[in-house]
Parts: sequence; structure tokens; C-alpha cells
Amino acid sequence: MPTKFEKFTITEKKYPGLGEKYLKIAFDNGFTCAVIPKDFAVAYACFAVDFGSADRHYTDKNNADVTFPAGLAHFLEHRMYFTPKGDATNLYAALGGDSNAYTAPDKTCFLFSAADNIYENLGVLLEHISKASFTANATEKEKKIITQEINMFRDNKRWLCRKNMLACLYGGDSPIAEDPAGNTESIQSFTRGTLANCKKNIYNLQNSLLCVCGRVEVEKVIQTIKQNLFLPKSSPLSRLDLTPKGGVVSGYCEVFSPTPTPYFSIGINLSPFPAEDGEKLFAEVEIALQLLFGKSSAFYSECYRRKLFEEFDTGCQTVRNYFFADLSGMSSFPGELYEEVKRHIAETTKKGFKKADFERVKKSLYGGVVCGFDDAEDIADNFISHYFESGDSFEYVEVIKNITKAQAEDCLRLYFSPENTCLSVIKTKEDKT
Amino acid sequence: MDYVNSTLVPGVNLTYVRQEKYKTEQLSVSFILPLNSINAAGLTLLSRVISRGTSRHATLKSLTRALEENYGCDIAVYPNKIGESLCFTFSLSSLKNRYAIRGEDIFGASLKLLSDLIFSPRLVGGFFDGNYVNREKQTLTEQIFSLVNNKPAYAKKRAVEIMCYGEPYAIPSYGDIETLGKFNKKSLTELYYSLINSAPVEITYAGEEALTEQRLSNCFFFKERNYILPGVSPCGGVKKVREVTEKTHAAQSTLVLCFRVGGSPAHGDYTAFTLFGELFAHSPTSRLFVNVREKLSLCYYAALSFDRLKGVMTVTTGIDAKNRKRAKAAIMRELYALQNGDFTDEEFQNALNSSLSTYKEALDDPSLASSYRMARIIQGSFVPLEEEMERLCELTAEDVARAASNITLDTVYLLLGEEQTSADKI
Repeated sequence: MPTKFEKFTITEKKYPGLGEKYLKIAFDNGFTCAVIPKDFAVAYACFAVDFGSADRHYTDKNNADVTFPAGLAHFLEHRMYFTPKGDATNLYAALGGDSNAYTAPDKTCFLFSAADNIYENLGVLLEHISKASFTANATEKEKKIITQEINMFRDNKRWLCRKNMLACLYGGDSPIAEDPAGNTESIQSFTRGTLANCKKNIYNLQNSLLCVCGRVEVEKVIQTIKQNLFLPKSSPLSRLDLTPKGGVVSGYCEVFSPTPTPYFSIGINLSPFPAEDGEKLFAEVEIALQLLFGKSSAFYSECYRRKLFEEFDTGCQTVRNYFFADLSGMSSFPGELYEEVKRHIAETTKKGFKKADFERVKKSLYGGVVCGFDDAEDIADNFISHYFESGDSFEYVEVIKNITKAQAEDCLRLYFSPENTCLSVIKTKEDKT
Repeated sequence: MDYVNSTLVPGVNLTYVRQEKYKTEQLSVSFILPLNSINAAGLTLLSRVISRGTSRHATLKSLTRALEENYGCDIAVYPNKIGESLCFTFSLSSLKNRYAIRGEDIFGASLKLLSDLIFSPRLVGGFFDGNYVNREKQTLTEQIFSLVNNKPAYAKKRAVEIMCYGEPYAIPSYGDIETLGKFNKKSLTELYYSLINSAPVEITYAGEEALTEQRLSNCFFFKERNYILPGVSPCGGVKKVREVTEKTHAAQSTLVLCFRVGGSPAHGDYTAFTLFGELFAHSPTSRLFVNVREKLSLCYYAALSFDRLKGVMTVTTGIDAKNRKRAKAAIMRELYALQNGDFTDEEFQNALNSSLSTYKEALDDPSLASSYRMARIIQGSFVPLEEEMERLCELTAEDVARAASNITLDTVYLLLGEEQTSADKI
């Protein structure tokens, strides 16, 4: 029996200061859809499944462990376009839709953008997710394509440096330190049955979200969902929580490569990411990172003047309850730079931030987040990321505005410890001796 | 979109597009120069030095703080290669005044910062700060060296260098390390003044502020100049296909097929090449995606790059070295098919839909619209997006096949990956 979409509740949320609103459609069967009206010529839609490359450990109804091989979420994403009607890519193309998909550590997203035939394209999206079918031949062919994708990433030294940093923080066997595409060995075991079982057990109404952004009518979106979405209501499997360790597994790792200037990645373990008030903590960390290491900081100017780096970028990311900052770039003296980073964290923790610096950085972050509402893809992707973390991207603007200097300083004291950091380096071959 | 065009002073053009639906004001100022070694290396260095400070904000710290104070307004400075021209662009993106928390004039402050960056750089004794010049030279040198780590980009750069040896087009937008090394504070300052005082300028503004000529002339101090755009050097026909292999430490090999595109970049051809690009490689229903990736499983990506102004096309793909002959043959087979008009109505229609979608996306994105505009201006035949879309709809399959028949293979370049001896794992 197909799942019914007859009963639903629509909630409209308005953000007058931001000049935005969205509608949340909560179906009684557990499925959720968000419609974000924007006056853009091109509409964007994304169907996101709360299942990413790091989600490998589950239990079934008998409480028995179920472990997915590395790279399965990503492999499945590649093979989700083939339906009994044919290749969905062709159906999109005929309707003028530009389709794509990607696998993140904590979600899989299928998306399209289209200027015309929006509901028809949306129908294609929901139908190929509902009815994807798998063949032995296509599965074998896909292994060769993904092997090339894996090799492409292996040759990317910055990516390798970051991956090694995560292995230092959380251990090489941690799901977030693994390549999202798996490895050339792990993908060999996949069969059409592996893909079909994973899809049947994981893709369901309760752990997915549809987000549509553009000039769309809510009634037509609902109608399209009713006609084209056929997924089980819930999963027979329960995801096991990833439990990031505190501290670091290893403080340092290096790899030799004929790269001209060494790459570095300094990790700061900020885990665990809390289930409640996560957005507030994230905003505090964003502000703290910019104050500590941003281009306007004395630290940045001084280290650049001393030639301790050629490139230096900062960022932070959550994956489930993992939370870490990454300071990365190119440096001929990564060891010295790392010592400066740790010293600077310790000193700033004692001294705190200056009021004027704090207000200025907060203003800058606020401006950046508001500007993010100019792009349909960014709007929808941010909405999905926040939604899966029980947050709301539209409210994040207010969250930032409400952070106080004392809160940012508390965050610094509680989360930024020089002991919880590590350094990963890709060194030049000549340095090996 | 309704463009309003005007001339600020002779040689300095302004295009204004009223945009109310965005949260940002977007303004770009582009100087157009011929592509040569000195301009490429010099302008790349200039983009870094000029971003280090202005007369009012002498250090990177002070300048960044001013940008942050102004709600994180973003000003990017960069050179871009189009045909055998270099566009040196200052691109401003500034939060609209209505989102200011305390009623500040964000756009006014942004214009002032942009103006300072263009017209009032940090100078010491009449020249750029020597410390900044030397430090940025060093950083840039390291970054150019490290491009070898981006295998697809490096392989494409080498392939174009080999194919276009002796032509300006062989020069990458960032120039070369040797020319960069010769720059000092004096020669860089001279290059800056020649840019500011004599290069043709195109200004694009997408926003809703009243950007009157009076307001612009209060912050932009342009002198009159000749508006002469650089041309492109002619390239001879292909006599013999060159095959070059170079080695690198990598898990994957990168194959680049370089083509010459004959014929003039007349309007019809330009538009027909857009459709050809979609049919050949750009979309997931294109020949290379469907056949070389999906059917033959030879690669994960096959990226097409097409400089219609110069008449150079490249296909870059990451492959297993043992498949290089198969990959080349498969790519060429699809090209020959399109040249012979061997494609279905459905493929043609899909390509048209995809091209139209890309242009419609540019209607939503001022920076995409600006890139499109600059490319067409440098080509010497600006056509509004809407008109270009109409032209696309008028094309026939024969037009596309005819345009494709001007494409000839010139150089086959393989960056042969050899696995490292040292383990690349922890």
C-alpha cells in the first residue's frame, strides 16, 4: 500500500527583519517538506536523506549490529538515478532541469535547479528516489568510475592533509576520517543486493527532508509529493550514535610527498557537539575563530610577517556530535606555527577578547549570514543542515546577534584547549632525512 | 534585465542593472589589458599587494577591520584571462543598507573602501611598500610552485603551453615565476599607474542605490583614455598532432586533448559553440558523460574548457594510465559523431534546454551575468542575455555540426601518474 500524504499541517514562519519566510509542511506520515518562496528566475529543490558516509553503524530490531562497508552511502547516491522508466538524468534534461547529487559525512542530497517545468522536475526527483533500481552490470561499471574518483582525491594533498588531521583527532578508524567514497578495496564487495538493501532500510519518510526554494506554489508542491513519493514510513534500523573521544588520539602526523611547500592542517577537537543549543555554540566558535586567527587578528599579521605561513585559512564543522576546527594552508614552518597557535589560544583564554573586536567580528559574521540568503542553493542547503541538527537556518541570524562577549569567552575557555589540538603535515620529500 | 549604459569619461563605461531582490549591492570595476608575461605576473602580484593596505588603512589588519566593521563587505581583486586579454577586476559585494542594525550607510562606506583600494593604495615615498612587494612575491612564488599538486589544472596549463608555444595564449593568467621575480616596488608601481590611467574600464553595478554620475565621480577618479581592446593573435592550422607525455607522482593520470577551433568568432558560431559544448561534455546527458564515463567507465570526470575568442578547446580527464589510448579514441569518436551531425533531436533539445537554463541562472546571479558580459565585450560583440537566448532557440542541428566541423585535434598531453614510493597513508 502506498503511503498516504492526505493529512498534513502547514506552519508559516516569518522573519520580517530578514525579509524572509518559509512554510513547513509536516505530513502525518512523518515526512517533512520546507518551501522557501524567493523571487528568483531559477528554482532549486533538494531531497536530503539523513544518512551520510560516516553513518555506518546501526542496530536492527533484534538489537543486532548492522555495519555498512565504507563508501556505501556514496556508491548508492551514484546509482539512485536508474528507474524502470529509464535514466532520470534524461528525464530532467528533457524538462530543462539541471540535476546533481552529493554525499556528505552526515547526509545524502539529490538536487536540481530549473527555470521551467519545476513541478515536473520535482516529480522526476521524487520518483527516482522512490523507484531507483539496481543491476549487477551497472554496479560493476560504477566501481570503475568511483575508483577513478577515489584516485583523484588521493592525489589532492590538501584533502589528504585534512583527512590525516581528522585521523589524529579521532583515530584512523573513525568514520569521519575515512574517505566518503570509501576505498578501492571496500567498494569491491558491493552488489546490486547491497545497494537495494541499504536503500530499502535507510531511505524513508521520517529521515528525509524536501526543501524547495523559488517561485513555487505550496499546493502544487504537495500535489507533486502525493503523486510521486513512495518510500517506507520508517527504518527497521536504528543509527548508533557516533561517540567522539575527548582529547586527541595523536598530536602529530606527517606524510612525505614531492609537494613544493608543505601543507599543514591544525585540528582543534571541540566535540561533543551538544544536542541542544548547538547553533549558539557554533556561532560562538565562529566568532572566536575569527577573533583568534582571522585576517584582522594581530596573530595573523604577526605570523605572516614572520613568514610562518604562505596561506592560512580557518573553519569549523560538525558531523553528528563530532565538532572540530581546522586551521589549514601552506607553511614552510608548520611546527613553529603550531606552537604559536597553541600559545595564542592559551594567552587569549586568560586575557579574553576586546569589546570593540568582538562587536566588529560579530557584525561581520551577521552580514555574511544575511548575504547567504541571495542564493537559492545556499538557502536550501543551509536549511537542510540546520534542520538535521534540530536547528533553523533562518533563526541563526538572531542567534548571532544575541551572542555576548562573555559567552564567546566562556566558549573559548571551555572548548579551546591547546591539549585538544593536533598537527598534520604533508612535507617535502627532501625533508625526509 | 534592463541594462542602462553610460560613459563616465571617455574610455570608462558604466552598465547599471536595477536589482531589488538581493540583499547585496554588487559593483565591479574591470580594467582590460593585453595578455603578456609582464602583465600576467605583474597584475597577479599587484592584486596581492594592493589588497594589503590603502593610504587610510595601511596594513592588512587595519583594512580587514574596516571591511568587517562595514558588515563584512567583500572586495575581491583578481586578474582573469579571456582570449588574449587580462581583466583586472575589483569586485565589491556589500550588504544593503536596509539590513544595517544601527542605520549605518553601508554602501557609502563600501564605495569609499573600494575607491581607496583602486585609487589610493598604500605608497611609501611614491612607490608600493617594498616589504609588501617582497613578501607577496614570495607567497605567490610558493603558490605557483604548488599548482603542480592540482593535477587537472596543472596538466591543462602544461597542455596549453605546449600547444600555443610562442603565442600569448600560452601564458597562464598568473604568469610565470621568472617574470614575477624581476618585479620590484618601482616596476610594480609603474604597472599600477599605467593600468589606472590608460586601460579601458568597464564598470557593472547591480543594486538599488541611486548611483548617480555625481556620486560616482566623487569616489572614482578616472581620467579620459582610449578605449582600444586587445585582439587575439592568429594561429596557423594544425599540421601534425603533437603527443607529449610527462611524469608525476600521482595515483591517477591526467589526459588533456587540445583542439584548435578555426573559423571566426562570428555571432552565429559563438552561439552554436554554446550548444556544441552542452552536447559534447557539459551536461550529464552529454556524449562524454554518457559514453566515456557511464558506458565505458573510463573516468570520473571529463571537463571541457572552451575559449571561443581564441579558438582553443581542451578536454581534461583523470584516467588509469593503461586506458589512455581507449580514452582518447572514445573522446575523438564522440567529437567525430557530432561533427557529422550524428546526434538525435532529443539530444539537441536537451542541450538547448541545458544552455537556456544556464543563461537563466545568470539572470539570477549578478556575478555570472557580469562574467558573461565581460567575455562578450572583449569579443567585441555584446549581446544581452535575453537576445543570446533567442539566438540559441533559432539554431538548427546543421548549425551545430557546422561549428563543430571547425574543431581539429592539435595536441595530446598525458600527465602520467606514478605511485609514490613513500606511503601516502599514516
